[in-house]
Amino acid sequence: MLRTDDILSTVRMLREEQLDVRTVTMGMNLQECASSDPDQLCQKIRAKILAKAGRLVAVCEEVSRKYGIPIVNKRIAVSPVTWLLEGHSDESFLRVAKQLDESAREVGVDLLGGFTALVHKGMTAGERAYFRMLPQVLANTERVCASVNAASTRTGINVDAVLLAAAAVKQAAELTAAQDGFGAAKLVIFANIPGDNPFMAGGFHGPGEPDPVINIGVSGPGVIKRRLQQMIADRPDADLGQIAQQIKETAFRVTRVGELIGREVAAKLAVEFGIVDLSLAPTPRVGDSVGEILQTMGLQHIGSPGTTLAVALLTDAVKKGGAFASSSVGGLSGAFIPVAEDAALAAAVAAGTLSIEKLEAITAICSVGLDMVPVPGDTSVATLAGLIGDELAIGVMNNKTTAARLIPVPGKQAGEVVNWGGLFGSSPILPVRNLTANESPVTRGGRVPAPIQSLRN
Amino acid sequence: MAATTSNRFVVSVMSRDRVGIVRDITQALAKWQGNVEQVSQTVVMNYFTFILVAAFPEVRTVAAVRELLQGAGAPGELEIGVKEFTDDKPAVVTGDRFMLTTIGGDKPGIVHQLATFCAGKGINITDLYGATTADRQFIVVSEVAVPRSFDLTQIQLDIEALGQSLGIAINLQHENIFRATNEIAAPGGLP
Repeated sequence: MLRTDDILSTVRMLREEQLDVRTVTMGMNLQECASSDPDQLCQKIRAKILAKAGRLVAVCEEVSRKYGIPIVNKRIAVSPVTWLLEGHSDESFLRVAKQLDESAREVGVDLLGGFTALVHKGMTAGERAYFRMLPQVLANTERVCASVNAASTRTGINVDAVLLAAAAVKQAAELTAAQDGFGAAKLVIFANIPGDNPFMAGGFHGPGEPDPVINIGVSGPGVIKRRLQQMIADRPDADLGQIAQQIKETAFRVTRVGELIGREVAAKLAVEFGIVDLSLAPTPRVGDSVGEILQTMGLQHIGSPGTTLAVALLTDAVKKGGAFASSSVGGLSGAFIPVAEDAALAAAVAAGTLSIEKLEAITAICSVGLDMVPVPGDTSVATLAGLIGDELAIGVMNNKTTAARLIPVPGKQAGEVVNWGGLFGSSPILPVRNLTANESPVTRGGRVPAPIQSLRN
Repeated sequence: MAATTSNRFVVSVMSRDRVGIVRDITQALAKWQGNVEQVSQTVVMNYFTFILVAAFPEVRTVAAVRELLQGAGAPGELEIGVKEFTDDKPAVVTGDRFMLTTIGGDKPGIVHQLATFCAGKGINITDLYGATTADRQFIVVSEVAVPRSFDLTQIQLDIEALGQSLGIAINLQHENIFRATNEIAAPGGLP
């Protein structure tokens, strides 16, 4: 039997603590659209997206009203476009990207992921064409998100792909100089990319996934922060074990909301329900920040000693609560630390307490990595590749997902503020220390062999 | 009026709260081998009330049951209501269970406005709780049955308008959101 206190507690989570479902993402496989004729390919892509996702937004709104829970974003993740474009001309990449952009707009989703290349061991001719066209695609589409898997624990790090991706980051930023390099904000370079991640920009529909499928990204950090604040107000001497318990309980509730909404949306669309991604995804809004959770735990300066410990406790407690709440947990499922998208993290950069090096250290125990990190516009491709390579090495060696979303902001220097607005937020540009001019081990190219922990059989 | 006779009765009892009321009432029922089939009790600001359905092996009259229970308390202590029980009618409204909740500044008429709204829409209130919190907020938590055929979008819009006119927050949410967030078992059982 439901107790009045429980009911009111849930109502307060919604009304006062910004409980929501962060994203409902429909994953779909576009393989059936394959055609050697680019016109036909585009027609089939449009037809499939409209047929499968045409009602996505309306159904999300209906379910949202029934439960009184906002669903913030509705998105689509498609299978890697590179699978469709092998043997096509370079121009076809841009055409297909524009078609995806247009179809996403038609069905009313704000972002569509899956302009993706899985090149963690090597590349096809089509994937080389992909890298040639990637900067133009990012500069000439609005909603299309790109991701590159350049490394995995099973295969090591494809440094050739890292170099191509770093060059694409740089070019995409330059082509979108008028928007402070925003093109690069829609490109994520991964190690161990998950195929069921509902969050953008790194979401895509991976091999082995059902078609179509509904995946859910749960509420942001606001709920956890407020629950912790209340708990610490009631018990100022709470220790870390009690803090972990509170986070776990809140993560349980938040995950349950995600699963309830996901299953109902999937049922109404008559498609399969996939996973709930437990990641705490901040938004630039004050009160919806992972950094603020760390501050509530007692961390005075984000980036100071104790930061990695606090993030480790947070991430682990969220997973434990979420894993008990749902048997369908997947995706990235960790805390995100996207600098520009998290007001407290951006403020820590401005205050000089949070550096790229510390962000990289935190990556070892949370997802995703150097995420939404603006760096000076004159950062060389070799330096970008070095930063990306370091990040991927952490993922490969620790058997986890890591990623880099770096934005070299054209014409701007460290300390200058960049503001992309909306969900993408604002941050001062982080200094990159010990700049690499044109050389680093990464510039030698080749592949970092698979680590010994890949030999598990 | 002719005396009604039956062997199943609905009984309500109201009095100032004290230790032992339930014992005294059930002791009185036991004198006639009365069996309690369902009971619900609550205390509101030190006043006790409960409702129960009891069955007796022998046929009794409403007046006799009232007199029996009256004797369970001190003279004038208990307000007793007794009705013959009939269970041949279906539930008043069938539909999905929703929670209608409000939080806002206290003022006369909130419960009435909510109830008027529900009655006007054909929504049945199946459970209701209201209280004033320490910070002078009046909260209402009610369970309501919303017929499946209803246009939820319109109801939500109307509720929002009502909330604005009363200056309070009103929420109507399907009960599964509360089950999902508060109970160990997932709503609907295993997927």
